[in-house]
Amino acid sequence: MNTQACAMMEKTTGTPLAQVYQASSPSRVRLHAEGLSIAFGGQQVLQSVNLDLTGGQIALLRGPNGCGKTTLLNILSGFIKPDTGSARLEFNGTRVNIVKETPDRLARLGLARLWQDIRLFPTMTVLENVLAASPHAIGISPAHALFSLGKVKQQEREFRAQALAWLDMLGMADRANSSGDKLSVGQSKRVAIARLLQTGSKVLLLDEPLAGLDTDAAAKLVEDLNRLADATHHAMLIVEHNHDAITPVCDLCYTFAEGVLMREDMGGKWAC
Amino acid sequence: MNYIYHLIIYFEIYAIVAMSLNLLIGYGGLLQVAHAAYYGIGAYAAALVWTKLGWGFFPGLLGGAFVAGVLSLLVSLPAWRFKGDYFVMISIAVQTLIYTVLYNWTEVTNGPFGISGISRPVISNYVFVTTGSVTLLYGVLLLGLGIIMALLKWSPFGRALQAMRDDELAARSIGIPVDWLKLQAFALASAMVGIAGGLYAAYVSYIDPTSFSLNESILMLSMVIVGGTGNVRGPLTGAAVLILLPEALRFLHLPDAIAANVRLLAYGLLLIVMMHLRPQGLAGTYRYQ
Repeated sequence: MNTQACAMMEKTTGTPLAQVYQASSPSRVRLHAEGLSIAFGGQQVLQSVNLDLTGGQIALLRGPNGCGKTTLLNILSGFIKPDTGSARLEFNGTRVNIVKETPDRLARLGLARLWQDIRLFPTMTVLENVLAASPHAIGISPAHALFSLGKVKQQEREFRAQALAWLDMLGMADRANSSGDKLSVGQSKRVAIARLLQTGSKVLLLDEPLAGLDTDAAAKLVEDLNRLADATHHAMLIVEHNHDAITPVCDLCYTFAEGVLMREDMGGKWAC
Repeated sequence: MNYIYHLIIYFEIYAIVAMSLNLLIGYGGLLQVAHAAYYGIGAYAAALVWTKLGWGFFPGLLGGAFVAGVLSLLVSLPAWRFKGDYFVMISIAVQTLIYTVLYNWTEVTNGPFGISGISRPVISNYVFVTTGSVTLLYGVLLLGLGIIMALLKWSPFGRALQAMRDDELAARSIGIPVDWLKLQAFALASAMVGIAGGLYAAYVSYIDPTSFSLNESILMLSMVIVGGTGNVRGPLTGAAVLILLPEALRFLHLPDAIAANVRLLAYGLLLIVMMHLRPQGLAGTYRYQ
């Protein structure tokens, strides 16, 4: 973390930096899907898809356009329900049936996604974008916002410190007060990833995180994602067409072929 | 002087109305067109509490706020499913439904004859009988509600509403409970406009359904759009402009037959000019899309 960011965080939050990364301590997490199938208008898009991913693993999900990659992410993040099959998230000793959950509950339970079209909140600053994802904020209840001001402020200080730490980790701390709609594509993606991390989720579904980035920016982001998986044991499922850039850090590769998903180990650090 | 006080009282009432509507439109991006109906529910509930039960001023106001808050489910539940133009249609339907109930449920509302004999505010045996004292009382209430709105805007609740307004899908995907948030926002805004309805009833001492029609909802919407959304000063500006505009027209000494039409024309013209020249409103920070 650079000196300027350290000074800013300690000044604004009063929180010792040692505590900032507490939320990123290793924890056991697993995403498991079995027999997922879905058809749209009679056309079979996914057919008995199985998938397994644990903390610290980075998996590439690849296949031609329209093969069902985003559909699979939509199912795993709770936005659409499969016709058949099951998917579960295991996190901190709890087991969640993904198929029955809403996307917002899934994000609070430990699974969040990055959108292909980024979707930052344009009227908010970068820091506010990340803060908006703070989990279990008591001030989200109007009653607490009005009558527990002290507790809300204390919690906000902690969230702010965490948000700045994620932004710093992704090299965006110096843009914390910039507007969400005044960033380049690469910067927006970094902020969106910081926003995902702020949710406290341990499983990240990333839809084309490198799209629109030049070679250097893509390499830097891949390096950051790898560092994140190493340091915090996040599990990542990444849809990406830039295979050359992402493959070196992947432990697994899932490839779609005619609606069927095939798994292949990449010989990475946590290869099964 | 009474005329000035009268204008200030109307400004205070409509400032509360506009602030509550701003919570939905400006902070939450929820284009509500049934606000006058909830204003009416608050007015009727408070009037009934005062005239039938004989309870005090504040219990009446809170009763109006409570009933309006609970009945906000009529719009907030459909808001889970319907968005944009479809939600506007739903809220117009709710506005019409509530207006029709107020007009036809004669056993309770006295139908088109309305409720009369509503007393001026009484607090600890002090009767706010002069317009000056009512101005002061309503001013204090406006200030209190304004502080509440400011606190909510700068809280995580306000931030979550803003996130929902900017991108509902993204908000859901980072764990913001959007459906629950909508319920709370509608309940709060409806309760607040219900209080304004109670204040209106206590000031004019007579209410009938015509004060709570779709036209009134559109006037409220105009206040928010003209004044601006997304902050506290926008709705206050809108309420001031649209309260003073018809008063300014008085000085043109137009015949009664055309004065009302000229007023509507002026409202329409103002909205069109604002849309073109300053879509975010006179003092707003957010442009509703």
